[in-house]
Amino acid sequence: MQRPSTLPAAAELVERIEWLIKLRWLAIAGVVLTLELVQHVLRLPLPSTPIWGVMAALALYNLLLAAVRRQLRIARQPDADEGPDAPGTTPALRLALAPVQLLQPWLALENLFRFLIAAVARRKRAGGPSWRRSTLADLLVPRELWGVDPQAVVFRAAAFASAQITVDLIALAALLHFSGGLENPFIFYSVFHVVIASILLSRRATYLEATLGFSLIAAVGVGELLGLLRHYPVGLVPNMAAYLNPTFVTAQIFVLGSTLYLTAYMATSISAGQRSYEREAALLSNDVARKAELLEAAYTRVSQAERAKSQYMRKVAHELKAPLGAVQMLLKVILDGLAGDVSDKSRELVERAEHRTRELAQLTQDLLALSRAREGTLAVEIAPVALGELVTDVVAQTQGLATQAGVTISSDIAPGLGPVQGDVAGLRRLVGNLVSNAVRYTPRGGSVAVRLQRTDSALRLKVEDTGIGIPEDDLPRIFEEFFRSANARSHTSDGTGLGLSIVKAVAEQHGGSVSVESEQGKGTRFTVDLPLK
Amino acid sequence: MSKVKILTVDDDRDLVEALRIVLESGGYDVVAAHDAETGLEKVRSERPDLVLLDVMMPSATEGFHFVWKLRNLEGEYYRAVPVILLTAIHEKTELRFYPDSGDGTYKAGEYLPVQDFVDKPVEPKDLLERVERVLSASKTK
Repeated sequence: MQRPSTLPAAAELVERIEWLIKLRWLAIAGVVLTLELVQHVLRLPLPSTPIWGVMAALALYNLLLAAVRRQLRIARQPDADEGPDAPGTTPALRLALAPVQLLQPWLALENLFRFLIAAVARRKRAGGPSWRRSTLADLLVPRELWGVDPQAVVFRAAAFASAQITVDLIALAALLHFSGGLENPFIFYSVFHVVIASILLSRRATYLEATLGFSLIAAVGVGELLGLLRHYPVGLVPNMAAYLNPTFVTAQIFVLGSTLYLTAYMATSISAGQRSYEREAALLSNDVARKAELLEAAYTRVSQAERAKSQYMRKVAHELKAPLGAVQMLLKVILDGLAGDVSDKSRELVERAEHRTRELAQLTQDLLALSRAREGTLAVEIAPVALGELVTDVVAQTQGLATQAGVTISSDIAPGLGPVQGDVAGLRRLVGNLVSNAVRYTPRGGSVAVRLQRTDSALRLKVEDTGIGIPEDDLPRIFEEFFRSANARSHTSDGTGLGLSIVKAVAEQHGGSVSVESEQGKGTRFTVDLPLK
Repeated sequence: MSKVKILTVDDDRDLVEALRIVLESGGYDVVAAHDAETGLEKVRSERPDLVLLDVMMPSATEGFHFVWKLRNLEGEYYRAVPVILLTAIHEKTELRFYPDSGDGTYKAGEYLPVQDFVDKPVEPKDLLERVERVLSASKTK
């Protein structure tokens, strides 16, 4: 079974118990004030000594609770056997929890009952449900908190709550006894204890506490009716002898009982729902945390693999460079006729071979550039780069290509731009790829505009053309490695499909980003932001 | 007058073969070495007029070390003999090199004491032009 990380549930229980202790001080103060008021203002005959005695006992108990409440917070490893009597608990804590033992007879009764049911079931059907002795923990801890870690803390808190409610009910019954018995409307204050029990304890324990409260108060009423207990008249009802009226006593007991049990029913239903919800939420947040961990681990693995891939790619590309260079050089020697006469057909074939080798060399260069950018800052040297000069330089270098293609190229570089920290070769590649792409994919008569401006925190490069544009469906894919849109391929067969991947990788290597807007047949605009650090 | 002698230092024998053909077509004598150590020996024994050096053989730094060792050899000749770097590394690092300061002091780590560099692959005509230029510059000094 999945377990929520518990401390929220256990801690909340402990917190509520501390709240209960504070509430009790208020109640004691309230009773003492009321007592004074009734005696001195209303001048009702109340036996103040026993009432003071009950309150003093309750106050002492509350002091004990306040003293030991810190021990509730000790989070231990879950230990099924650990309970209020577990080793390590202090005598003070054991004393504070002692009233829980009042529930033991009830538990014994319940166990006997369950044993009998199980025995009957087994007689009917072999291999029926086996009987398991119910423990105090089973009785007290709300079902929704079963399995919550640390179970010992949860159980101890529940036992603590149960002990307090039990003591409160006894004190209330005693107080009522000394202040008119069933004639005292405060008998209904026992409802509060049932509500508190429903919040802190299991459904069964709540009914048990309701039963305890009901039995104690009913016992006072019946005891006084039968003359077994002394009646302390307080003059709260017109008929001074109401406590002797069986109808009155029966009615009070009936109303009290139905109130308590109905309250127990309603409050436990609401609490159970609330607790299930909280448990779900705890499980869910646990789940989310675990999934986040898994995701992070997966991400780390992926980026390690990605880096390893880039390093591998870089090594392979590097290894390709030397043989390619040699091949190109040898072919050039043949083409220049330095190795002897070449027939026209041979020359044409060698020219084609040389052209293909150049493509291969370009691909190798692109793979090197891409892998260097992907490896982040490890493979390059970071230095201040005057981007404005670099852009001017690249535009000047592309001018020849543009003139040849009948494309006008203009640049607008804002003055006073600071340098960016970066890899100059990578940045040159980024700008070069964007500008030469713009020229290559713009038909004769078109134009390319290169702009470099400063935004709040970045240098922004815009390369805009009036070219063939990019089909909308292809826009999300143009930064993918080796992807070339169909219209780009039909426009020119040249190109490795790595140019924009390099642009993106270099931009990201510098903590920046690249975006594209395009309309097919109208033109394209690339925007690169490079943060100023 | 004997022919001008060029030493090529490169571990790629095919490339050296191509360079030899190109340089011989330009009327130069070509001596080849395939590693840095042999290269230094050949500089001493052959006293070439120019060294054409592949910077990447076989590790990225071997070519650089060759230049430093060469420049630190005792004798005016070793400081003056022109070196052309044959490389694709220029694009990678935007290496600052030392075109022709000629004062004979070389500061390690600042500039590479070579006279020119040529990106691989190079058009045969371009290579011959560069060699011619560097040689005439070193003669006029």
